[in-house]
Amino acid sequence: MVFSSLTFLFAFLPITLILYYLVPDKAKNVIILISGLIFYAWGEPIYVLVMIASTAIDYTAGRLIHKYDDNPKIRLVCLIVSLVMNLGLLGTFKYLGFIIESLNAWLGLAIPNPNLPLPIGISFFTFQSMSYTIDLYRRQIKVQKNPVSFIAFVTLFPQIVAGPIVRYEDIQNEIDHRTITEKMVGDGISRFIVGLGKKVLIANNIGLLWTEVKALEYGELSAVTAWIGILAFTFQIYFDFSGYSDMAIGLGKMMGFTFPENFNYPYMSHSVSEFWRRWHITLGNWFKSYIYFPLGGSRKGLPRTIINLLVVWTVTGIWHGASWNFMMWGAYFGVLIVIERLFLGKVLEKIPAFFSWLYTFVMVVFGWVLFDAVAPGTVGFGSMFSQVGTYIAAMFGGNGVFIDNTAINYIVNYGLIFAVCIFGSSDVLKNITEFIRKKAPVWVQYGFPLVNAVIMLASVAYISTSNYNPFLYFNF
Amino acid sequence: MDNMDKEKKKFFMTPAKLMIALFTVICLVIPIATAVLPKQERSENENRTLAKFPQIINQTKLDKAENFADVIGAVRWEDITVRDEDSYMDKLETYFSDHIIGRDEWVRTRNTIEMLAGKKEINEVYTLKNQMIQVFKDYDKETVNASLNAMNRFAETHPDMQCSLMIAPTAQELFSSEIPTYAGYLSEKTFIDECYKKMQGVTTIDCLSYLSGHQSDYIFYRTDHHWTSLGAYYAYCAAAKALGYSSYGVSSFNIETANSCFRGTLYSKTLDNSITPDSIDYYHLASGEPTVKMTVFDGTKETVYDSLYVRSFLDVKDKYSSFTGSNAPIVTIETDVDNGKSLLLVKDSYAHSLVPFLSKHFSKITMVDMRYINTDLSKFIDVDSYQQTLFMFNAISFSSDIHLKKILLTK
Repeated sequence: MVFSSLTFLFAFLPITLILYYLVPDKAKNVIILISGLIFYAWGEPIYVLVMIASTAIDYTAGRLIHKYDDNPKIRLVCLIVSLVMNLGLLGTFKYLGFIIESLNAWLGLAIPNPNLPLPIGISFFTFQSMSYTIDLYRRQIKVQKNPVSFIAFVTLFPQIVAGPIVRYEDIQNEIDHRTITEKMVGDGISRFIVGLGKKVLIANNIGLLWTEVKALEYGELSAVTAWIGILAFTFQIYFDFSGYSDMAIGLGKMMGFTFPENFNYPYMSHSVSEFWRRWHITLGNWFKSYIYFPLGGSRKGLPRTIINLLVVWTVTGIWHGASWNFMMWGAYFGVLIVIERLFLGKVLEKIPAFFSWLYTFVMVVFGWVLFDAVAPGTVGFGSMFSQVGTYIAAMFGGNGVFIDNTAINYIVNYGLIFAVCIFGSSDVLKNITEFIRKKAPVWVQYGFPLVNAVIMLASVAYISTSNYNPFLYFNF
Repeated sequence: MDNMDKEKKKFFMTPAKLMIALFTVICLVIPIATAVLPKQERSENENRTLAKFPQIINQTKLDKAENFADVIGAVRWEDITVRDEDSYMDKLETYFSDHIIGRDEWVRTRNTIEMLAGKKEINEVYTLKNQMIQVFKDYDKETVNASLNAMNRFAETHPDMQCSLMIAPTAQELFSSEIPTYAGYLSEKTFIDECYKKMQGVTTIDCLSYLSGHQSDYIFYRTDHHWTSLGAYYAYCAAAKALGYSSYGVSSFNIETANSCFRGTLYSKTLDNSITPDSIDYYHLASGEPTVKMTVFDGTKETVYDSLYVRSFLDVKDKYSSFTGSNAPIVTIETDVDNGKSLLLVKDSYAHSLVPFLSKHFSKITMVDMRYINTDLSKFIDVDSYQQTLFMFNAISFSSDIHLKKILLTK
């Protein structure tokens, strides 16, 4: 189920919350478990079984790691079983098809591609479960003996589909003992609505523009159109993804959980390294804890540090999807971060803040070309490069046109939405609201709930009318 | 801080409580009201049947069930296990959005937000101050060429027939000076000129220049994609020479305003109430109308009328259909005009408001809509018994017409 649907907003959510608040504390995890399974099964009716199986194995592995605390061999075997199973699932569903296609293309083979569909959220829940067994193996957390609590941790519906990647460590106390206050629920609702508005009102809207530009012939784009297109995607992905995280964090709060933050105004960063400390924070932390540090991080000399950084970023890229462009996208950031580590970081600190921001933002935008300017289903490396290359060339006026009517039309139609995007991805609004909260008279504080209610209704107007479709008798 | 606390007590509830209250109201009132209030089966604006509540169980199978296995078999498993557009989950979402309380108001709210955000075009309708416009964005050249060739071939194979073509502009062309060029819409004039250039043995009728000469008149509906009776009147004047009649002056008509609260197809797309509703005008010859007999053949049965106006349509949403009825495969009009002239009119709906004018000059007019005829036309009518054929379409519908070429099936 997706948050921005009528089924979720007006059926699943009210029923779940009412039950959740009504039942005694001890039974709340049962509601989480059941609602989580329904929520997941709504989108993946069959693969919910895969998730249940994987959760059962991780739970058992956890129990065994705990039970054989003094037997390093058994502990290691349990960890390996959990890792192989989780990575195996991820590998099979997410990467198998791509590997087979690539092998076929390179070696001229004809291995049949099983074309497995990608179960929703598999990249998230496998990472979450792994964090549990690894941390337990490292003795950083306590074992969860109650199976209901453990399954509730995995199936906690707000974060199951698209993060934030909540590690067991993050909610190990709250999963069994949590208090829900009026303020938490109120704040949670506000946060949820803000996220809903970001997704439905902003991301979907600006996303339409990117869809249009993507459908044009890259070899004919004017420079301005090419920039407008990729900037639209730059904002779309931020508002979509951070909006989703906001909704998850808000829903978590409504249920008494404090999830980790996932975004911290990434487009205000002054270096690419900083961008990655502000973008998809929980993923970055995951890779840092479980790959970068185990590889030795930056403690084993410069050459090893460089290799470690490149490995982590390439893996980060591949995590986003099984195709060359995601791998290149990751590696691109690895290279930029290595360069910053070597010398550019110091330069960026010295030059005026505007230029370090501009450098970072432009680099990130070029990154998004690698990420999304490629037609879906592109397998070949060469085809990917020619698409990306043509697009980037267009941004530099490679098609010989600086601005055309298409671009002007986009500016007129989307200018205001762009302004909202720029404003909304900076921390100006946050500073204003904080100022109001601290300095303005109390009655002004009542404006926030009212504004949120309006955002919610506006979002419903968009969600509920997506199938208003009066085209049928247009030509008759 | 003390001050703040004191001040807070003055209020009935804390901001957090207000947030919770508002959220609860929104999340409960909308679904409950939607569930309780009566549902509509059809959406007039969208001209479609709204979704029915999806059934997880096949009732007929359940009724026949004799054992437990049959009961299990009555469940539509494929709907709940396969995640595609036919899944129970998607159907439920569609049902909710089809029947959500205040559906039109949600559409209006959304469109208002879009307008405020600077969008000029909503659902392919461009809205000027008090005029809605269907936009002409692109077309497939091959489709159009196929239609043009079909008409040329038709003229060639019916050498005794006098064939003409009239492609009417739509409101977009007449209001083009008010639409910025960067909007990227195509010129209907260019389109019509290019089409006309390719015609052989077919007389082309330039109704665009005639209409342009009366640009400030009420020739296009504000809320519908058709022309008004006055627009059709000017087209009737433009066609006079090609069809061989001398048109009546506008003053020869008594104008009856049959309805003045018509909101048409373009309104349906945006539900914008700020545009003045349209009037449906009927033009009656002051000197007396010819007697007519109109036979509408809907593919299976014939209905006979004694007027070109089907006034029952004035009471429903689709009021334009009161001109000769809604689109039908074949409509035959016989008049007491005693000149023996007969016209085969291959057309789209623009012709419907034109026919009342043409009926003054022909003994017989047969309107043929190729969109509803998939076979040899001569199975229904004797094509060779007509002296003239007029092909009549508006530029936008002609540009995407894939049916006209079927006229070549005619033996």
